[in-house]
Amino acid sequence: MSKRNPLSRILGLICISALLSPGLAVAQQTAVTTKKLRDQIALMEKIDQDEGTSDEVRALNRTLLDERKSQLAARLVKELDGLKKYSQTMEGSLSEGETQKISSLLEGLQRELDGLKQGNNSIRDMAARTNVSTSAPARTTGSTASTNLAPPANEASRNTSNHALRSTSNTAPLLVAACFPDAPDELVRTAKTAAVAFVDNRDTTGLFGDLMFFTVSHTVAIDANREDLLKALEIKQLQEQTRRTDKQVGPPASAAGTTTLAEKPGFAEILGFAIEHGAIQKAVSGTTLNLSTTPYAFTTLNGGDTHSNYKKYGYLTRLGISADFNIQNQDNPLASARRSQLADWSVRLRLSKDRSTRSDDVEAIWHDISAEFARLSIVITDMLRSTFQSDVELETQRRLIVDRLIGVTAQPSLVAIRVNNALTRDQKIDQVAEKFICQAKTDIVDGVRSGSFKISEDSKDRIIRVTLPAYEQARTAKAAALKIFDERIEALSYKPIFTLAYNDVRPTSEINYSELKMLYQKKTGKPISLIANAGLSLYHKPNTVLRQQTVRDFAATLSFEGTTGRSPFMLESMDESQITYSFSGRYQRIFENRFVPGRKADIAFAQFKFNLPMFSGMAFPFSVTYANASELIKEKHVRTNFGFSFDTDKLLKALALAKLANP
Amino acid sequence: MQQITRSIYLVANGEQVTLEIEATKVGYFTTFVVDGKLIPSEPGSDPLTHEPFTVTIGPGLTHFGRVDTHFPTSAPDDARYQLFLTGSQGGARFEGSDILKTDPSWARGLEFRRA
Repeated sequence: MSKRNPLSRILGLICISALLSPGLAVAQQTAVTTKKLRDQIALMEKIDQDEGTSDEVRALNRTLLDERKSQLAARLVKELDGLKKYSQTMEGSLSEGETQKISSLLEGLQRELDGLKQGNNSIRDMAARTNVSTSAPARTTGSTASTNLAPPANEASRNTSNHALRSTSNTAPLLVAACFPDAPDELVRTAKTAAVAFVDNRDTTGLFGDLMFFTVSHTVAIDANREDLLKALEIKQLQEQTRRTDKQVGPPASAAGTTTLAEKPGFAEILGFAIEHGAIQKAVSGTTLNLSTTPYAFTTLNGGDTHSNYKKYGYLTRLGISADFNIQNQDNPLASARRSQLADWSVRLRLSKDRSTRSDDVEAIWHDISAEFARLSIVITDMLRSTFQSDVELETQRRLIVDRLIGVTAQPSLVAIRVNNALTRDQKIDQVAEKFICQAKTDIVDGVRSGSFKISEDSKDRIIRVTLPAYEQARTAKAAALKIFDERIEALSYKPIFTLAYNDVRPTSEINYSELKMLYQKKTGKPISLIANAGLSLYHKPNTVLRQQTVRDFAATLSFEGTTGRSPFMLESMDESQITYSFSGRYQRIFENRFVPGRKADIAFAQFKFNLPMFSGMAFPFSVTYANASELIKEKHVRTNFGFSFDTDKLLKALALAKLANP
Repeated sequence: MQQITRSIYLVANGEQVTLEIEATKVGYFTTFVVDGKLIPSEPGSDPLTHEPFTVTIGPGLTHFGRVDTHFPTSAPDDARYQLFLTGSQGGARFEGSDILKTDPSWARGLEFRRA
């Protein structure tokens, strides 16, 4: 027994406490870098070798040291895998020096892994499974206890292919659970969904069926040496994920959409309420405040924007109302929303039918493809039925496993993660997901292999022969169905939209007049839309002295608008602001100008415009306009406008989003 | 029918179970499957109501359901589906799981257990 040195004991306990502290516990799960893990291991080894360390501290330290080594080994295995794949992929494209560099890196990582293997069986097993070592493969999987007795050769090959596939996937989940580094992506994604639900205090149990399906199927396929089936599934999954690159993962917009306005009692307060709840849209551009709404928005204030509500009142989206006010006080633009500041207002009525994704047309498209979409669920539930519905004893075990997964969510350590403000949302999700994965590994993978969770040979055979091939086909069918769905929705957007617009214009130095326009919009190509409109302006009270008639002018506009993709200046990852451009031509005939010297009745404009978003809420608009005259002066001119525009609402939203993402 | 969790229910032999789905800021792009069979929805129903399925399993066994959903790209991030379940032999109209556009997976399992 070592001599007890109080100082060493205290120092050792302080070091261990520090390693167990919440901040570092977070890091150990997700945010810790490989370097930090190495540093922690070096420190722990120092404590272990210190003669002054007491037995109890040493025992605790060794347990933690083994855990750190396992985590580091999992990372090294992944790095080795990735580097080997990279080397194979780039073979022939690398210079001799580059090949040598990779080779040295591989050797270094391998040496480090071999070093970790000394005296640690689970790491030795992990290295053997990943086929990165020349050492003899061992028999167990993962770092959790296992009584698996499958032949070593089988074991060595059965975990390699899938892991390699994960390493080469640029869309693979980042989470690698140390207890189950080869967990299939579907299992990790399901565990992450359950973790998201747990962190948000929502139901997790709806994910445990999929968790059971993916874990059992994976285990059975690996044990039967049918990694080819898993490989095919991984490829399908990657194809699907690549297709869905447009999907955003982030906090709910509902949490981020509030605006903070310096409110004023009365009308502004009511407006503020409607804006806060999304019933009225507010935009400030220069010295103009724009408020717009649709009557439909007010029907959602009570019961929310449900599909039922849309079915009942969706027709109200045909009508749009908008008003522009001259801003008096920039600090409180909403205070300018009064009659005396009203610059103009307009009403628009959409004449063409609803083509939103909630329209009847889109529902009909869904109806056509839903049977194909459902095939994946059919395969999964049919496997669960055929495996567990005829064996009460096995079903009892399955229920116990599900109950234990539910039990995981009640563990104080998990609840502590949820309420730990020192953790980011992503860190919480990863830590909780890892708990679910480890529980699935212990109860299902190890259980199937030890026989404590005894899946019958018939069921295993059916999973290999029927379920996994059917699953692959169903995944393909689902992806194809969604492709058709998206294509047909896209086709709908190419149909023209007709709108009738009424504008009441109140120029400060002229007589009020009204514009009545027919607007036409049609997408002509993938990124370009054709917009055309034509209309008449009418004086409310024509002034005969000024030779005004009831019809003030006739105007027609033709414009092509397009986008060239996301702005390269948008460093904020959640902001998808696009670069937009347009070419426009406009002809206007102002009838009264025929009788006014120095004015021109027929006015033509041509304009090129583009808008380059620079940061969230800030953009650089640029335009060049040519006109043969203005309304008031008969003079050709070319005008260039550029500057910076600020959208404070958008800026506030971006800040709120960033705050939510990184509390 | 009794609710154990939002996704796990205790059912009786012969009981008819009905699933309803309410969509917010998205259309009804959902499917419901039980034990490998697609359960059709009643056309025009609102909230979307699937035809009831009957509990036929023996004691100690389970019917396995799965709701799979889709969110078009244009749906806002706060679009969601909410499930509701009702059994013909009493209980209540239970609030089931919810599925958000921001969830990594848009499918949920349902268990209907016989005691």
